[in-house]
Amino acid sequence: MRFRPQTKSIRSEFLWKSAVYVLGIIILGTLVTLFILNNQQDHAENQDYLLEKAEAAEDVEQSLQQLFYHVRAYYSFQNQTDLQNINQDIRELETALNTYQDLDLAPEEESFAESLDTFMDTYENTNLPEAIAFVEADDYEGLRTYANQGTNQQIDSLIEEASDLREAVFTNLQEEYDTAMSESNRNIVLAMGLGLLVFLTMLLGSQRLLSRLVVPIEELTAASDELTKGNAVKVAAASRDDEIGALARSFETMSTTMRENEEELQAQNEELQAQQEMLEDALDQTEKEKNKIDRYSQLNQTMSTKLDKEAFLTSIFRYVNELYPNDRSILYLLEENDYRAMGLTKQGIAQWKEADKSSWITRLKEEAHIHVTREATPEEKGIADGAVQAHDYYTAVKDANGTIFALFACTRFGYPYTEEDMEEIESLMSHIALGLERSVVYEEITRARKLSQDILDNVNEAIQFVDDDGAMLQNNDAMEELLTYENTAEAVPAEEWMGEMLHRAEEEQALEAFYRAMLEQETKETLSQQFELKDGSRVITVYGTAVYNDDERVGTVFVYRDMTREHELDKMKSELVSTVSHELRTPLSSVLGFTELLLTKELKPERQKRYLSTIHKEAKRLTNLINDFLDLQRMEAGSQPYQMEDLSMDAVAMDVIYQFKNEQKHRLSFVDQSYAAKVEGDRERLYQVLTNLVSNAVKFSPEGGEVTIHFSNSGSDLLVAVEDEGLGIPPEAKDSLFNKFQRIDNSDRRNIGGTGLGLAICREIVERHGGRIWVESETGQGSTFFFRLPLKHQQQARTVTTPEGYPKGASVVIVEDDTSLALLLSEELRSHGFRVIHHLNPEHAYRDIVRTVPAAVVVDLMLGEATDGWDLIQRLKEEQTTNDIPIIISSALDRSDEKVQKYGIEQYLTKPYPPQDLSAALLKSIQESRGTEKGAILFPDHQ
Amino acid sequence: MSHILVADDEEILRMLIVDTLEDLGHDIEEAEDGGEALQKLQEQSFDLVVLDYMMPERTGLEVLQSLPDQIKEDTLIIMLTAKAQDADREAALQAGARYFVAKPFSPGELETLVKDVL
Repeated sequence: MRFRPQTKSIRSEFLWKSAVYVLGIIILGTLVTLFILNNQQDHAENQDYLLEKAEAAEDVEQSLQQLFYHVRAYYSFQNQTDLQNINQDIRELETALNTYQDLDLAPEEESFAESLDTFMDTYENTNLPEAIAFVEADDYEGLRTYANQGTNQQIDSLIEEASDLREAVFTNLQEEYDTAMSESNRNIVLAMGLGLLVFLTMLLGSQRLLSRLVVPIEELTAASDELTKGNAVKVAAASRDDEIGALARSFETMSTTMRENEEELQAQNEELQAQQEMLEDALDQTEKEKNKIDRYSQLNQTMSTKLDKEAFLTSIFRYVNELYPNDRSILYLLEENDYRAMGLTKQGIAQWKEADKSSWITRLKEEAHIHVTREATPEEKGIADGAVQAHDYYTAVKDANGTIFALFACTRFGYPYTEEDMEEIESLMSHIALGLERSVVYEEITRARKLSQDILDNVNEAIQFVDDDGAMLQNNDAMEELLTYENTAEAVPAEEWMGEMLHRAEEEQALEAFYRAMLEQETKETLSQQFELKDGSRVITVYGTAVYNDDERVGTVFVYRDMTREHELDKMKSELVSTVSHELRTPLSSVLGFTELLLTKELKPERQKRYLSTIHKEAKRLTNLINDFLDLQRMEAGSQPYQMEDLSMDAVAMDVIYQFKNEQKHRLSFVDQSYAAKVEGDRERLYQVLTNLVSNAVKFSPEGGEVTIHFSNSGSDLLVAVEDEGLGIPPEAKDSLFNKFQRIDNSDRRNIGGTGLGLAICREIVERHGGRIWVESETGQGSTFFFRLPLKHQQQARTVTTPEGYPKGASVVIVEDDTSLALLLSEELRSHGFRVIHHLNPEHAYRDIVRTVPAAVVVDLMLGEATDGWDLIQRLKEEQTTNDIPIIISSALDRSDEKVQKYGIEQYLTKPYPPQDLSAALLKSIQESRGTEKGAILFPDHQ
Repeated sequence: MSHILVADDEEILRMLIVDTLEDLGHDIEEAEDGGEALQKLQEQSFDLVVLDYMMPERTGLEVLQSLPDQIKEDTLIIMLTAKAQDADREAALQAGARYFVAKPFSPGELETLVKDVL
């Protein structure tokens, strides 16, 4: 800010005035001080002089009095000492007088001093010597007279005068003090007056200074307030020549400048406002353009990415309507009868669909578009007042050949289509045509691709297609399963899938070499490689074929065929061939060898016989082997016919037991605890199974012992067990026991023989019947072969109770070779809760009865054995433990009165008789035997 | 008269071989399986061994492989084999077998062979 230089400076004026003022005060103060000091000095001097004079007067008086005191004493006592004192007093008086005389004396004092001086002179020189003379003369009278002549009076008056003078001096002194005091008071008042003057002057000066500074500042404050309010300001102080004036002027200048600036700013502001409005308009325009461009780009995006026809149509139709606002529009596909409509009612759409469009099509073939302006119908007008024009616009969508395949129609009410609009819509239609064509092609491709993928996925073989770098581009479901891969749309790099495959393959190196060869070598041959998975679950053959497209190699197809079954079959086949050849060779060797010996050598007859029987045995073994083998092959091939019928397995078991009735070394029995034994099965085959098992049991218990067929029910199955007390089966052999040619080869079994196919045949048959076969065994403790067959009818387990007094599971032994009778009895007894044990051999039966002590024994007298029924009865009766057991004779062709008598038999029956009679008799007998008639033997009544 | 061991698990075949060789006037020892054969070969000294290839406990090949070289050098070993496969023969030859007779064999052939080699 600029300052006008001020001609009068407040600062210099203030300094100058202050200086004068201070100087005045200093001078005045000095004068007053000097005056007061001087006055005080005068008084002090005066007082000192008076004090001195008073002291001198007092000295004189005292010296005088002392003198006369001593004089009188001398007069009285004539003492020399007093005389000396007198002389001393005189000297002192003289000194005092001199001192007094030196002072500035008043006239009376002068006269006193002179008179005293005179007196003293007289007294010393005259009076005293005379007096002394009197004293020395001892003339007291004379002395007294002398003294009284006037000397004494003189002295007294002098003393008195001296005293008066001294009094006068003290009075003067007192006066002097009073004066000094009053003057001093006056001085204090003077000094105070001066101080007051200084204070007043300063007050006045300050007031003046303030009034000169504050007023203009207040004025400026008010002015600045005014300025803030936006008013023009005029500051009075501006006319002043001092700093305030300068300030005020600056202020005025400033306010003026500010006002000017403000006005300028306002002007600029207005200009800016105007510009902004312009910009906003432009921006609006741009925004609109941008939206349009956005939509265009979205449209393009849609056309390039939406390959699905339906979605493409929907979104493109929406865009067209957004870009060129229509009140109504429809895009109609002629062939598909498909459409996209906006603003149209259902009736409108139906009307359009049904309308004959051929005239439109014909016209649009010639013209790019048809534009119709017409009067809007009342319905179209809506709430509009007055006439409204409706603008219809039609155009066609043409394919590459110019064939129209879709129509586009739109309508605006009161808002015509510009040329630009129409051109743009037309160009859009060609885009739509392209997009639709593309989406049709895409649909076809997708369908074709899906079809080929579906075909691939339905192939059992895993298939993968890899590109030149080995990356897996396509694969089927089986491939994913094989690789345990999740289906990914992305290519799987070679190292990934190949790594996985190699990791899982047992023949890793060979497989890797195969892949490398396929991927790196130019070959048109199909190569293959077999490998097994490390977990042993599968054997796979992979075939690789290079794929060429117009002589350019595009990749490789690998097909993985699961060869596990084939591989296993191969292995089995070759094993079988080797085993069979071995099995066949041995008997053949024997036959050939011994025949050769017979033919070529002279042999003794017994040796010839031995050889011939050996040949016969071996030939039979060979036959059995071939039969078993063929049987099994037939069964496995499924070509073995099964004659399924309702079959009572207990009858089958009885037949098997019957078959072995001549077996002496082993005690065969059939223990039936089942409540139901009817199955659906092939009698012959199941008979074969049981026979096989029993014959194995006999064979593999070379030391003899019990062989028991045991029936029971388990759930809805019949459980059959064949138990022996033979060699047993080592645990490691159990699993493979039912496989073909699995004989347990050890020295104990070596000579037992067999084809090694029996159990495999058993398993085959049992499994064909929906059953299961297994073995439980302990080496050296015998074995139990079990098989279970589903029961024919799902019979419910009957609650069977043993007759009162019999322990649960009490047994009845039946020794009967008529199986049907035995079975009938068995059925009856089992229904009453008895356990039925069948025997065919009376000797075996006897041992069993002695051991188990059954509830009753049923015996057939005609057993056709060395020991017949009667022998058995006799032995039982002789035995202490068994003679109480009731015995029922089931058949008695040989009625012997002798025997009847011997055993006290009351009656018996001859066959044929109703079997139920026997059962009834049996039960009655059993029950009665609980009472008195112990050990009764019962013949069935023949009547 | 030579001391001969006949090792075959099939009793009938063993009988055939034993009868054939006994007729030639040799002293025959029998073994029912590979284990017994090995034991006898180690305990006694034989001029000739007729060894079946397929035997329980120890196969003929295993018997040969377990035998000390000295015994194999001192003994003529005839291998009976039903598996006339080259690989088996090769292994048996390596293990010390000198002659092979394929099953089913002719006693006359065996007789001739034994006569020739002894």
